[in-house]
Amino acid sequence: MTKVQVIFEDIISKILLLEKDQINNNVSRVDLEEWDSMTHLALVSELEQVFNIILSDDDVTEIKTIGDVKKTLNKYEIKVE
Amino acid sequence: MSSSSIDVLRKQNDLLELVCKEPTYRNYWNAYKRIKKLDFSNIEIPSQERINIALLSSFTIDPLAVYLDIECRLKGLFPEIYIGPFNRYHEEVLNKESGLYKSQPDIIFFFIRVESLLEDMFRVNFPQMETEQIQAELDRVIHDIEQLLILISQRSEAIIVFCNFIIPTFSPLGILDNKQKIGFKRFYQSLNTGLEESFLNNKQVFIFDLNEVASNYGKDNYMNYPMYYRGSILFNEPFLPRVSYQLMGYIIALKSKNRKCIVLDLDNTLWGGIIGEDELEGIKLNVNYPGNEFVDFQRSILSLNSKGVILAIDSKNNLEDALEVFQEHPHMLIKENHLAAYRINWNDKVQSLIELANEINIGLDSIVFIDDNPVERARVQTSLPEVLVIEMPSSPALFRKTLEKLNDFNTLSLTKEDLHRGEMYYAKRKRQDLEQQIQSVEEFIKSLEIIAKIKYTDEFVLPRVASLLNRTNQFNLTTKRYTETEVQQMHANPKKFLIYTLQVQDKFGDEGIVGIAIVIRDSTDNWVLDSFLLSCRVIGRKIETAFLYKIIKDAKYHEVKKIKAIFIPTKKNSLVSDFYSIHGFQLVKERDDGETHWVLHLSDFKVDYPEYIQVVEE
Repeated sequence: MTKVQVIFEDIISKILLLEKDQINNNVSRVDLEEWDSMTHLALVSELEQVFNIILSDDDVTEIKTIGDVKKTLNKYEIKVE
Repeated sequence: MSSSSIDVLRKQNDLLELVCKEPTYRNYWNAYKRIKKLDFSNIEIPSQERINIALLSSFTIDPLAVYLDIECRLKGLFPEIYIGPFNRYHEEVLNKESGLYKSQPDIIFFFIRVESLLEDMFRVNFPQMETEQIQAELDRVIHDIEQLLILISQRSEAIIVFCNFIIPTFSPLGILDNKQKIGFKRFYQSLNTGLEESFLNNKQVFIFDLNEVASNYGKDNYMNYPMYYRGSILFNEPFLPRVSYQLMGYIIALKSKNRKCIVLDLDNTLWGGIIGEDELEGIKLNVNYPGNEFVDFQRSILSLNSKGVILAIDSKNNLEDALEVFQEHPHMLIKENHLAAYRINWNDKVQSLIELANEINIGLDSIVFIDDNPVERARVQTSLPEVLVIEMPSSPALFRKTLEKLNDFNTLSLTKEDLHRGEMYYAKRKRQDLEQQIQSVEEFIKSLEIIAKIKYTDEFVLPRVASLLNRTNQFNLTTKRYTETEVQQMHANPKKFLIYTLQVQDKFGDEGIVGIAIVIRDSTDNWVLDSFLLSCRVIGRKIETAFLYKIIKDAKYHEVKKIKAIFIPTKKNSLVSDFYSIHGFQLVKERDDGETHWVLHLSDFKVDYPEYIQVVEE
């Protein structure tokens, strides 16, 4: 894993309270009780802070799964896949 | 305590440890959320460790709760945090049945953006408003807030902390802003001073200077605009710990977790250099650089002392040497009468700290320990975790700043006397328990992973050898002074003289060459220990024993029969008067002036290095 991937995984596991082996692209906001709106904002805030980016409003609302988070970050040249 | 409750506390501890190791937002979040899922219901938490906190705000304050919760737990408290519904603080205060009152808060933090009390178009209209209109708005806002806060204080016993308004860096009036009677920035400033004046004599309501915290952090960055528009989250992530650190000042004071006493080291802490070596004229303590760093540091210590913080000394030194500085040095600002107690001797500092706490009659959890030496700090931290050990920067130029950053000496005038007394009693008992638990000095030294490199001197370090011979006063058996040329001559004659150097490393770093011994090969049967000295930096770790034993080992190897040694007393070296007797030498002669002569017969002497020191022989 690259350094960026390690940090990304750490953010996901700490904010969404997931063990490393529970992290996969299909984990979604609908299924994961922990991923409520406050958690979602915390996730966005931490991603922006750590990777020094500002997500577009559409990005923020359209992220539904961990796969979506990765796709979004890729758009900002943050290679986590 | 049942095994499940021990398990809960252990889990909490693991999460907190991770936060201390890496204080990132996600680690705080992770700890906060996971601790929330733990069941504390089976744990008996004494009331002095519980705290109910309420947060009322005109914006989303949840991210701050994450920090406050964890910071409380790091101070040994068990917080319950009530977060009032977003921007409904009026209802919360007015309605007697609201969640605010039901949560029975001990402390309420109030965060309001002044915009929530003004018309939406206030900023737009401001440049066209008359001074009277602005003044009227000012009075109205202050009055509204006063009414709210007074109402809470009538209905609740809680300490109420109202965060003042962050004075904006923008004004629509630009450079003309302070050419108005009440400019845009002056409007905010006046609100803040008005509120401070309103509650000046109120013992329950405190106005917290959030504006200053924002200034210190940087007003360009404290606000996160994208997050504000998305979810009314005002504060930028990295700003949150700065706010919570300052708010903890109130919580620490309220829960009597505040520190009452500073225990200070002397050498290289209150003055530069080592009094036992450099003497009164040689230490750095002056109005000019670099002595001014220490004078200024002392001034800051005294400023805390004059508001009631107790001072004490815990130093490894000869008492007379140290007291001479307090009594005679013209720039020594801290005097004996500032000290509640002192331990200036060669004992273990942990033992001295316990004695100091007993003598002053305070708990170890009231003590802040300040020492430049990382080894002493680590020893105190591991043996007495309740003591707040300050990570002192290596540059004394930063000592003052480090002290002034501390947030642990705050008190509210509202402390309850009887609660206090109970705490004292508790502290005393706890300390007595602890005396049995302290890690032994041996165990601590073991944990240092000391390596002693002992070898014959080489050309390159002769200047260092000469300098140590001429400067070392305290751990010096004969205090014989030799010039560099004389050392050179001895070095050139190894059939007659052996010069040993001792270099010490431990897990905190390399101390360099800290010990010298000179042996005179008197005859094939006899060696004479002409000089034996150690820098006081490494005293008290049995390194001297390892050093001496290496020489004895070499002597045995050369089939020497006995080693003769002399102790010549000086004003400074009483520390080592029993060095030879401790190490098995026999007293041969004692002169009237105190000089003692010793001999060690090698035939039946077995060399066993102290087991926790790794001796490297070259």
